[in-house]
Amino acid sequence: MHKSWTASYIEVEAAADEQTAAGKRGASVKNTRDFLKIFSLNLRCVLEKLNVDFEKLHEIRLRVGCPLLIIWDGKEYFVRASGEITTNPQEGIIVERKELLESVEYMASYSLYAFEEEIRQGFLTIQGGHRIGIAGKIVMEGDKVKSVKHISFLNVRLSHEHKGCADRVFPFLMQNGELCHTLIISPPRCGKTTLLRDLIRQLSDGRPDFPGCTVGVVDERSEIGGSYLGMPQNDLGIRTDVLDRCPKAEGMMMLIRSMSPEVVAVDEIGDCRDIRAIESVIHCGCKLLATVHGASIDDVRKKPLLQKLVAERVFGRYVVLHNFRRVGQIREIFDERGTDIYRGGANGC
Amino acid sequence: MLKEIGISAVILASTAIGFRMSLDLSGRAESLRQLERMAMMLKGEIRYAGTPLQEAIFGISKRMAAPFDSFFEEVARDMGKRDGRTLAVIFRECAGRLPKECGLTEDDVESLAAMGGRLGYLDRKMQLQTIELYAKELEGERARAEGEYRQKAKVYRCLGFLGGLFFAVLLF
Repeated sequence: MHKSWTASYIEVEAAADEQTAAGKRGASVKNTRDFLKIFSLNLRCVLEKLNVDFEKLHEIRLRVGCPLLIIWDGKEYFVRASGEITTNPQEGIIVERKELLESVEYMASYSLYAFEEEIRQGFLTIQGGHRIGIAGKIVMEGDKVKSVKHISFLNVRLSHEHKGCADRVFPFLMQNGELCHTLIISPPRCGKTTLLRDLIRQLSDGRPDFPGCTVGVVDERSEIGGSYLGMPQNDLGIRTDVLDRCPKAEGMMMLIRSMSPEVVAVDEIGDCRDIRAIESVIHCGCKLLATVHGASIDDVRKKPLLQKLVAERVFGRYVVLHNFRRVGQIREIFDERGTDIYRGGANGC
Repeated sequence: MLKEIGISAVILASTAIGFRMSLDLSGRAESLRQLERMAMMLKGEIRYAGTPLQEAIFGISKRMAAPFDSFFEEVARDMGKRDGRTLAVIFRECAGRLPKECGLTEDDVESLAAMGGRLGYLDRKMQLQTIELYAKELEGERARAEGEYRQKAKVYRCLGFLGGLFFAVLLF
């Protein structure tokens, strides 16, 4: 009897290891069948028949009473019951409430309480780093959002791991053999997390022109590493330590105290605690690699909390992304004075 | 000679029935105690670590004795299958497969299945309250089962032996 439970738990941990190993091999939606288990049985049957390259699938949108919609290769399509895609909304399979609720149960692994804090922010991150946006009836407590009731809209944003997407950006971020404090600026859905992930991997593993260094990652929403049971499922390199689901501000300080990283990487900085922690990081001799929402360097200058860092020339490089032709293109790279050192063309991802 | 063997067999069988019935009583109390421990561990996992149910239940199965180790392992496994069954259905089906030897009554199994059905979909506070309520129910049931054991165990054993003796006298 004991053997059987030991075996089963080891199986869970081995599955995490196996997925980690798969991650090191490359693809992001590594096992389509496993990934589709987050959907209700009916939707799963339809999506399993979907004849598209999942690497180009960016979003799957579920709205109660509306047709199932996907964003594939930057374009919007509806999905027929047969699994074919169409641009005609009338032909799309309609998502029913019970299917959406069944999907929510699976997405949260029957444990919505475990995602309470995330749901309050309107999303949850599942195994593999995929982010699921949630909307419905908001429950307030005083002036704060307490929860989301009657969930009726879901946006499954697939995490993509594109190894090598940072190849062309990397040299621009180095000065005298050292990484500059770097801020990746990008609107949503332009691939900033994907670029950040590959930069982390390259910094950690090293490249012919860079020996590799210790990287500490604070992965507040499990989007960078897509960790499962504490192990990153995406390849973040051999010299990377990850604090999974840890608030950024506390995480940055914890890493500096405990893991002595040479580079600290965080995704989507924004609040005042993050900014204070960033000040500590840069004064501890660590290099910072961060992302922020925005469309240009001017957007960052206009953010009250970030403008001080820009004015003080804390960041040595600003990488601006856009998705005019396709996701993850580098629009511009600036140095600390705001001088354009690269413009357009190069494919970030 | 055959007579003596027959007398001994009747007395032994009857005594064994008595012992078996007293063991069933102690088995139920022990099973309820194990479920109380499970409730405590689950509460801890949810309160302090916010662990998702499947992971928490796997962890708990590791620390439980038979037959609950395989019960919780099976629940966690079935949760991983995501085959269209709700958590309530999974708990009910797995609880239905618990062996009779664990001593749990039909009501005990039903209340375990019902607790499983109430897990997973509310906020953390409500989740903890659900488990606390179940733990209180279990505590009451266990106290009753232990009281019953103290009262009836000796009686069952004595009655088993004496009943065998009585039959032996009647028959031979």
